[in-house]
Amino acid sequence: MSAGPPPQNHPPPPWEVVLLVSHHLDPKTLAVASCVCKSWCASMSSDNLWKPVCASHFPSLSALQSTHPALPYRRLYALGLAAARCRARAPAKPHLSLDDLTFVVDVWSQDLHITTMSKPGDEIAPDPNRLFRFELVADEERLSAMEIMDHVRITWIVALRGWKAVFTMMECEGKASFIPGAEGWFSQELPSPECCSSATASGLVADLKLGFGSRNVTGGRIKVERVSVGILSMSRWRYASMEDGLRYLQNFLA
Amino acid sequence: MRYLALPLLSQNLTESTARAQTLSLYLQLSLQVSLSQRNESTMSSSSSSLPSCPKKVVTLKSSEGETFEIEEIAALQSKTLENMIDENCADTPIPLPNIKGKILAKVVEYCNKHAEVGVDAESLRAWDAEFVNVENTTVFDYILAANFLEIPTLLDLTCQSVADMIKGKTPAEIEKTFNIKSAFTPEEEEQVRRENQWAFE
Repeated sequence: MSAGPPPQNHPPPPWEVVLLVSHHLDPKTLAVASCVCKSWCASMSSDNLWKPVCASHFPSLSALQSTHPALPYRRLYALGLAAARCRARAPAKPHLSLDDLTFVVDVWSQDLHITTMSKPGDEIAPDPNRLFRFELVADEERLSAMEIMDHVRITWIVALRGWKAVFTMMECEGKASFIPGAEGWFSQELPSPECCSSATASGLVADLKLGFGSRNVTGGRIKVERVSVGILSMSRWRYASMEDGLRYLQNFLA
Repeated sequence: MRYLALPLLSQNLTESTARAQTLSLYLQLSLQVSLSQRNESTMSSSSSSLPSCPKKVVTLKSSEGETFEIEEIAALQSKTLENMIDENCADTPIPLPNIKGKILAKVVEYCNKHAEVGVDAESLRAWDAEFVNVENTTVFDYILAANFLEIPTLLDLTCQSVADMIKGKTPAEIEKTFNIKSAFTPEEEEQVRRENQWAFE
């Protein structure tokens, strides 16, 4: 085609040409071109043009037309496109990061403080598979030994940087059966975020494992040397991804 | 593959079934008669594949009265002309009062080019691209002519070239390209924009 804008005295295309050309335009161009002027809008909005487009892209929506004949096919196409975009939309990236958090774990047995750890996020090694699970190693000085088969109380709290907010991930009791080198495993269902009614389950579980030292302390007592924490997804039987975990916590901390 | 209508038999038959029957009859006849007999037959004109027979030509008359000749083979690319040839109206010049001479000449050139044998696809594409590399108003005239004469390949070529000028442009750019004045009121324009907002994202 000739380059550059036409001389000012050249007439615009006749309506028959617009109509014929419109059959060669894709849906997006048709919609943009409808905004040019009234006659183009009329030519490019016709059901004749949009019906086959709608039928090929969104056949199920085309069926709507039979029950709602007043809905033009171009409107159905726009609706179908918006719906498809919504479904395909990825969740927004969390604005919380691990560095904004501090993990606090407390283990009590009877009245004895077995271990306590407070680990800021920047000191916690991220999981190599980008999962929301972490290994926290206890400071040697703070360890007390506990009896075999002791009844323990576990608390796991996540705090927002600057102590602006806290969220209790787990508060539970149970028996930590132990053999040196073995683990005690605790889990507790996490609440649904506020946007959903409390009657629905979140499908997420706070997961905590006590890792006992392999060295035997005298008198049949054992020390908790490390704690593994994470968020487990019930529906997928897998640890939640780092992003999903942070997005979940955002509901309660941010 | 086209055939020649036997004037005596097909004079009043216009349906496609009648044409098919005529074709079948013609083929049977051509198998049975010898070359010399066929030359002596009552068929006054012939556009068979025999090289010794003269090629049939159709005359077209533009809006200004200018005449243009086009071989029947080339003319058959136009469904309108094909129908006229079938119905035996093609012996006299065919008037095309809505096509100017300048445009008709180019359309004839197009049909002749596309009726040629042994042209490779690549050079034909290049020829086509040159054919539409003209001013907008000329392309619009080509579109209207191709539509009236029902030449699908020419219609596709010309419409696609205009479509390519529209694709990817904003409404303002389209208005500028084609010298269009938007007749929308501000309210109408806003409403149309809103309805088609998805196309701008």
